[in-house]
Amino acid sequence: MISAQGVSKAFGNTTVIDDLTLEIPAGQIYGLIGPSGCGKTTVVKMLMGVYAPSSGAVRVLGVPPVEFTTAHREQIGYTPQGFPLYPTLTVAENARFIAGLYGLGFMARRRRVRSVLEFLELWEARKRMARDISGGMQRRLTLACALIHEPMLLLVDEPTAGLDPVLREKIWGLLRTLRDQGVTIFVTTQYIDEASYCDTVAILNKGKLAAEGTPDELRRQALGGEIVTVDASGLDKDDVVALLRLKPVHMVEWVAPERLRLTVEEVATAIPEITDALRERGREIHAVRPEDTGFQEVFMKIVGAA
Amino acid sequence: MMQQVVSSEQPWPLPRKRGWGLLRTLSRVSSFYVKWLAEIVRQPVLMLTLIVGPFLVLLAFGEGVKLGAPEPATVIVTQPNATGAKIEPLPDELGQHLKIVITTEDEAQARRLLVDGDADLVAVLPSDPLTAVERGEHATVRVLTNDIDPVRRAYTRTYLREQVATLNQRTIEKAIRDAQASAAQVHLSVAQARQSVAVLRTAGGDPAATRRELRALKAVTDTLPASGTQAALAAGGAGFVIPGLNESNDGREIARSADTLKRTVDTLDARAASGNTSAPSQQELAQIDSGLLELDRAATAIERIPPEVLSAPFNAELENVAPFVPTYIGFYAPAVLALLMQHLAITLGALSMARVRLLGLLELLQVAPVRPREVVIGNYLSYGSLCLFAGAALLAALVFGLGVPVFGSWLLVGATLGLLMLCALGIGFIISLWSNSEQQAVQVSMLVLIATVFFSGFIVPQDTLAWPVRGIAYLLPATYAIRALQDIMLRGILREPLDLIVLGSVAAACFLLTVQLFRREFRAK
Repeated sequence: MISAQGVSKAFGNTTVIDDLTLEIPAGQIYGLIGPSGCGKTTVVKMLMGVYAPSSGAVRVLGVPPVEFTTAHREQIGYTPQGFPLYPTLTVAENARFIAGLYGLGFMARRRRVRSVLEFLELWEARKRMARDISGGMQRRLTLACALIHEPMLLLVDEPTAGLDPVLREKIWGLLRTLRDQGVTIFVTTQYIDEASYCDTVAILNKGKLAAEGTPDELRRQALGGEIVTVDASGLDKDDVVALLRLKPVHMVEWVAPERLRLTVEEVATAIPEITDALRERGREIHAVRPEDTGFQEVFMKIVGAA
Repeated sequence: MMQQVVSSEQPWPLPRKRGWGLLRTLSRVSSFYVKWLAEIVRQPVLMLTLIVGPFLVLLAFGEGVKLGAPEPATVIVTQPNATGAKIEPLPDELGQHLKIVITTEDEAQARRLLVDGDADLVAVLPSDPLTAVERGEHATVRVLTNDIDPVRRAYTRTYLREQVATLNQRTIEKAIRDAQASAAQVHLSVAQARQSVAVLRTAGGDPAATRRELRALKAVTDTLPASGTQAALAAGGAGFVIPGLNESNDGREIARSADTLKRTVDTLDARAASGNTSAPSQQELAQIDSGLLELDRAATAIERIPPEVLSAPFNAELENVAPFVPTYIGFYAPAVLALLMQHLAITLGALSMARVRLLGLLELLQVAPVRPREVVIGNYLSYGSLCLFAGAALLAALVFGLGVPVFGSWLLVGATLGLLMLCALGIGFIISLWSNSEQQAVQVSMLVLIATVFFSGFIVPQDTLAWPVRGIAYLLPATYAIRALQDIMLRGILREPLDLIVLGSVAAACFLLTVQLFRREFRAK
């Protein structure tokens, strides 16, 4: 659905995006993650046809965005950063204005406005002025406006920026629901942990693609496998050597006197072998459990390696 | 790299479009209008300001402004040791148009009042005007002012020229009136002389009576040349100005007749004095009587022309063939209407895109399936509705509230306002698309307003502007609209149809340029 081949974008002498290649299939949440200022918004704007690439080729829905027809635009929803709507209009009026821009007739407009505002839990606030609603509601209103015309592709730039964790969770829940309804979603975020909400994640660092894959793939790529934590009494150096001899175990770290952190091929097959090996050596095992590594560490390792 | 790769090289199958293309266009265009309507109904104060504000300004202007005859506070300075005759008409004449605050002999005090702003003019009268004139010099009235306003200074200069001309005329008029009094004396003398002639005719052979009447007749005819000369001078002075009057020879006739009469009577008197007791013959008396009648007729001819006519033989009479002479409100109302319409439309247009940019909405428009021309038409509809509503309300207030007439076609008035609004909105949008910020847009709008006030004919008529400055006037839509509205509303006709053609052409050009600029704005960067 979206393809970028060797795309670069420069503003004057500053190269913001450097040789970016992406291939995004339909029906996914594709997350572009990276620190602030790494070029995420520039990528989104190139995909929307706001910016033309300096070199390389971008295709969205099979055509370069600078050649979008109204038919293409009608299939794309876009929420830029911030709150780009009329603060002096009500929630419903803003939604109706955007619906009109997308050519929805009077009846369709009424139906869709209600449907989208209900979906995003804004119906009760429909008569409130946009300037008077909370930041979270404003983000949802922006999203509502992007969904008003039932797009097949949704590009969302930093939907959770500045929101509290509860609201962020809510926004991601909505995106997942949309994905389940068949909408392809391209989303950018500077919150690294939000990568786990995506089906595919691309890590952008200083305008370059540092890594791409599913969250698990990136985790493996960054950490060399999955992580298992072992809590046991009387652990010594020989235990570590014994564990390293196990086939699924790639690495063992001694993180505390009675705690080891193991990088394994696959948690499911590794845990029984680890448990058996330590028991054979007479160790009293308190716990062997997979560690839910935060994506922060993954990101730091990938970016650090890059 | 990816587990699930779908080729993006082929055009993606898109769902069928909903509805007809035209309806979708209407829907897109109308969304701007509906949005604007929703915003505007929440701002009744704005509408009130747009309509009531200009109405009140015009009302205050019409009721409060006094053009033409400001009454300068004037100090008259007379000379302490004035010896000659006073300039009699001066105080009366000046008093009609000046507010004489004080008459003093102290010029320094008068100057202080002028410097302190307590007086607008100081008129220093000459000490001995008649002597000066007799010497062949002007009797100069020095006038001091303390003006920094060039318009007021020019007005004062013109006003003074007019006052001095009036003063000169009144002086001449007085002289003529004095001279005509001599003609009256001629009548009296002629009447007395004819009475003597009548007595002489009946005196017969009474030498004593003949001698007495001859003496009485001589006493009268001795004074006639002097009166005749004065009357002749009056007629001669007028004849100098009016050659036709000179050709009647009334003046010379009097002088000649008076001389002839005097000589005839002197001869008879001399004959009587030499002891000749023969009475004047009937033929001699008839000749004298005829001379007296001729003299009387010539004096009547001189009196026939009033002194005020003789002193100012030429008079300007202004006849205005305009079908209607409006009041200040009536005259300025069409111009104010045009000026406000233009300013409102330009400001709204100029701020429109600045606001869209500020809110970040431009990007939403750029990625939406809306065409540049649809955005432009949508904005024209929205802001145009506001301008037309404000214009119509203001026009109604002017016509029905202040009694400003509309002699011409209301349709033409509407067309002029509509075309002006389209021009001004277009200019506003162009300013908006070229401006980088709201402040810049406002500044440029204000600049256009100032240029319009100065150059559109609102204050100064265009024909008083020199080229190439006059060219600026022709760049402003208000220039054409003011002229057209004044003609349609106050004359009842559109004298220059080209005005509307120009407005229409500018409106079309602005629309096309705005669409082009929007296209550029929507282009990928």
